[in-house]
Amino acid sequence: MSNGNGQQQAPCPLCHGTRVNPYNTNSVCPVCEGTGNAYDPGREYTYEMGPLILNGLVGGAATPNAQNAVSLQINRAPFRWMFLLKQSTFPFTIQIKDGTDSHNPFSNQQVHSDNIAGNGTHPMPLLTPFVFGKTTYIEADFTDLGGAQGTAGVTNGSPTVTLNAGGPFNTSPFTGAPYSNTPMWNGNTITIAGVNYVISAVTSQNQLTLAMNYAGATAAAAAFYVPNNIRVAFKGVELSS
Amino acid sequence: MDTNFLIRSKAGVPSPWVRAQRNPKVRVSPFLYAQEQLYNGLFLPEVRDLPSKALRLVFHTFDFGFTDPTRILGPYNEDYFNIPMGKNTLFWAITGLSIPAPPSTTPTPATGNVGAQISPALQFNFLQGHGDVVSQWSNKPITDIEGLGTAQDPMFFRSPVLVPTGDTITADVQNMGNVNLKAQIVLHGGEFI
Repeated sequence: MSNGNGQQQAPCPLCHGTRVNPYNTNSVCPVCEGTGNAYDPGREYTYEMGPLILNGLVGGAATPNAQNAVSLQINRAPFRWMFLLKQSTFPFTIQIKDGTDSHNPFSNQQVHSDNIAGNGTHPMPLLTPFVFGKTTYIEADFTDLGGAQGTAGVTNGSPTVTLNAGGPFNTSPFTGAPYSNTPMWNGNTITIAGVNYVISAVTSQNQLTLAMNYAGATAAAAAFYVPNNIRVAFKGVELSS
Repeated sequence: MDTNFLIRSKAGVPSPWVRAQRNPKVRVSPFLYAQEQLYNGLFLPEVRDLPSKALRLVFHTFDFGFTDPTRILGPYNEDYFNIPMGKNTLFWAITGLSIPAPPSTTPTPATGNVGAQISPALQFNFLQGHGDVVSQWSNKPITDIEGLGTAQDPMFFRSPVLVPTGDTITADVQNMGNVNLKAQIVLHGGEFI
């Protein structure tokens, strides 16, 4: 049997290309699942979506809290999606769609990133892989759950930052009981008036402390951004047809 | 396992997804073996011949507060989230998480504080409605520590759960803490095409 590229594919070792279960002709072959072809183990490949920056400052322009219809094209060969991996500053929610004309989603709503994506040492395997056709798209809607932007009052020589508008400052810890009292923002980067600082501690939704004294000019409403940098990797195998 | 990734089914019984066959030789996706190596048998579903072509990947999400802030669980409150099954669906894993919803009510949840309840964060049960019959997936609510994994350490069902078209799955979740709580539980599976 030949594939779409004109290459000969080996027939299924159980049904020998008949596509029918040889032990019960009323059902499809359980090994090839009715394709008649030998199982294609594929070639290891990873499609990465991102980096995506939400609630940040990119090229002097603020990025929003959410971004929809982020897409990447499956441009090499049909792709069997088998793992979902992520790397991000803070948690986010995501709804993945198959990128066809109907934009069929894989979930009824956006899913928390810790519920759907693993990482390199602890990947989330998909026991029912999905095959994206060549030249189709993977599409996703993202919403940031950790970052924020707005304006804040800052004083030259003081590490204290006081919320003026927008935000609020995120006092939430990372997910999972037992909940620590350490906000997820502690130790992360905040951009104030275009300069990056490290957050020492978030004391409340209206106040935080920098790891060093603010070096810029005193201002009552300096623009601040605490960005969420997101990368999502679709890991799997490329198929020959 | 041969080069076609065929092995005899672990239970040595015919596959339930096709009719009885004399030679229960099934294909097992090899990527699963990298997960726990020799211990994979403890984690994989007992019936491992999950079809990859007849099922479309689906994540059924039961959300309390992440998408709709009005559904944040108050201290010790209980809530329900229903999802009707539009197609026959096979669930093979469950994950879940929770986080206090700011601003937290006082006292701050920390060990030793009066009234503090840190862990478990919630207890849950699933109710499956089939016609006029409602059945529970456990005899009483179980805690998140016992019943939920995460995407990094998923809780795989030993035997995938088949939920037919028309049934309704209801997640019954109760906040076990003295703080407002956001929670989300996801059933991972595949819809029969």
